[in-house]
Amino acid sequence: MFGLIDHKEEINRLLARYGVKFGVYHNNEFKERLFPFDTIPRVLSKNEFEFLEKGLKQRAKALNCFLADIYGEKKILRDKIIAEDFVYYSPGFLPPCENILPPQGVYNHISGIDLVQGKDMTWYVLEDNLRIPSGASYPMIARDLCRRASPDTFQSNAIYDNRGYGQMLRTVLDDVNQGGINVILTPGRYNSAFFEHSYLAEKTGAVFAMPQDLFVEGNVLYYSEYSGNRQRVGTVYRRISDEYLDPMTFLPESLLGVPHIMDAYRAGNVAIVNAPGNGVADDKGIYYFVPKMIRYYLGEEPILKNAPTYLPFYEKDRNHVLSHLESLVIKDVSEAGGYGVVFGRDLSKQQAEDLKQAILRNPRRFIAQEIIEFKDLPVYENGKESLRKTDLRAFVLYGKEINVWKSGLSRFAPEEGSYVVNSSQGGGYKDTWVLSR
Amino acid sequence: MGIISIKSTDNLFWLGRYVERSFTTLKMFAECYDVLIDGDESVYKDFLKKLGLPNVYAYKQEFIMNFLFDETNPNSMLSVLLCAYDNAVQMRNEISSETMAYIQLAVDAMQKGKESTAPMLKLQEVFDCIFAFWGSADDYVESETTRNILKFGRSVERLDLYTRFKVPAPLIQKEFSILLNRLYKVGVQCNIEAIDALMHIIIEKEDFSGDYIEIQNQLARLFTTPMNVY
Repeated sequence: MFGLIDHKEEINRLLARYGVKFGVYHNNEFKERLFPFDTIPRVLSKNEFEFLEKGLKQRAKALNCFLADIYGEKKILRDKIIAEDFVYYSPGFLPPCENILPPQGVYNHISGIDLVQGKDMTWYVLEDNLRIPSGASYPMIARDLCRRASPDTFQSNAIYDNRGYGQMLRTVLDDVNQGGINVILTPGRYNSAFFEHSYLAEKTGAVFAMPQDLFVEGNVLYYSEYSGNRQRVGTVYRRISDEYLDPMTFLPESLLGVPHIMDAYRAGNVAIVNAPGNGVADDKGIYYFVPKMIRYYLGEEPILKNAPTYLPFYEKDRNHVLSHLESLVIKDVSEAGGYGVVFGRDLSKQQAEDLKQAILRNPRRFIAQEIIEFKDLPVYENGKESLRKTDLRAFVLYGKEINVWKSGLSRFAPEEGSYVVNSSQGGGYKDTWVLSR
Repeated sequence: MGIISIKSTDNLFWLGRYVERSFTTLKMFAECYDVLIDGDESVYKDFLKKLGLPNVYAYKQEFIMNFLFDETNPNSMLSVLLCAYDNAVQMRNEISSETMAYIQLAVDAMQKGKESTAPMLKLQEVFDCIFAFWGSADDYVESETTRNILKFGRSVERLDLYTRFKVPAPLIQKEFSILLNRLYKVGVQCNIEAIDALMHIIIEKEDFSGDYIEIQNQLARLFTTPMNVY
């Protein structure tokens, strides 16, 4: 372990060498930033991981059932387990996806589930990211360098190798493939996660495509080669948001999408990973209902807890939120990446009043959660250890089987005491070790 | 043959060109710099003229620092390397992270050069990285097509710069024969008339020292109509 700490700077230099960056737009200008890596890992014991694995699989399975139901029979709405408003008002609910059954019945092929561990060691799920969760590539490439920096550490600790994520992903892409090549579709060079797109293409052996490389003919998706030949595409792992995916179905002004790709998908000729329309299940409002979904679809008690959450949409919850604003964290359901997250205790009197009015005007737009005092993990900086709030994004891969990647992205806050861990807010990341014994 | 789209072909071709542009131009710059030490300021003006670039520099020291390191100057060597980087990151899956890393290192070395009290010494690192890039491309790039497109870009750029700097005719002939070989292997569509014109000048003429501009013009026409597979 000391070997890792000693070589932190060198490892970060090598990460920069490999272009391990993410993009941010600031004042309409694109800038690439390095994602600071801290070499002190988060360590998950075998038992702890097995517990999480069970809970994560359960959650991914229930969310998949929900997506199949909501774009199909809608039993969960008829049975009034979830209020209709939360589905139909969700910007993630896409009517064009109604009655499309994706290959193998899988919607959430890759789930990025964000968890935190409270100081009492209880794990809480904070968010389910089911659209295009990113971040797996960072610990993968960091592990490679850590092993080179301190082989003794990895010899003397029984740590699962996390570098097989590319193969796991490839298996999922193959499992749902409808005949043809696997393609990773990026919106382009100036996407914030472009490094990951290109790195995963390298690691999965999938063809890396820009929108202009793909076209649809006769409800079949093709990749256009420079030689004039075309290759049928069986699976497209798209890293483009739903609304830009197909200008003929969604935003007509989108220049990033592939016209008629939804027709090919609807005809069952191509698998789209993750399925379009998943946004309805990772809506911050729907998150509240996930434990109910688990009971409803699987007949099981949820293994993993949600953070205690209030929906101002319901009068009782709204009254509680308005009278306890200072002890809650308020999240705007339409925002992501750490934006739209407000701690009631940090607001001035006027700001608190403005927020209350906004909640009263549009209660569906917000959720409120109890502040979880999540565990600090040590980071090494300026020659000494200090503590940072750190979350864990776990990756659940769903093909013919459901598997949880034996690692994860542990993101830490940029400053001591801060609860915001998003990379776009200046935080860093750690490797996540899962012990095999 | 690997599966490569038109867009990827374009990225690979321009990656080869930009890497070569930075390499050969820096080599020529180093010669120019050496003469400038002894005070002949006309050398840098001539250097810019050969490259077809306007002289926007007030004095030689400004030329040296700006031409090498000014990111806001699209003709600076740093900007050229950043263009190479832009194409390289888009081709990571084709050329491998290992190969791409050498372009990142070349950019880093160039950026450090700006802060250095001896910037010309830093340029050696840039040369080393470019050599390593080509070595890595030979070793790590699995697809022969990808390698050939990259090197085809290098040949086009090299030929263009060789004629600008009027290098000896045998070197130009050698590079042209490499270009023809790559073109044949790549099998991309190109302007057959431009190729015929280049063959006529470089292979058939005994002395083509008066035809350098025509060579540059024909190179620029390589991918304009009429197209045909060479």
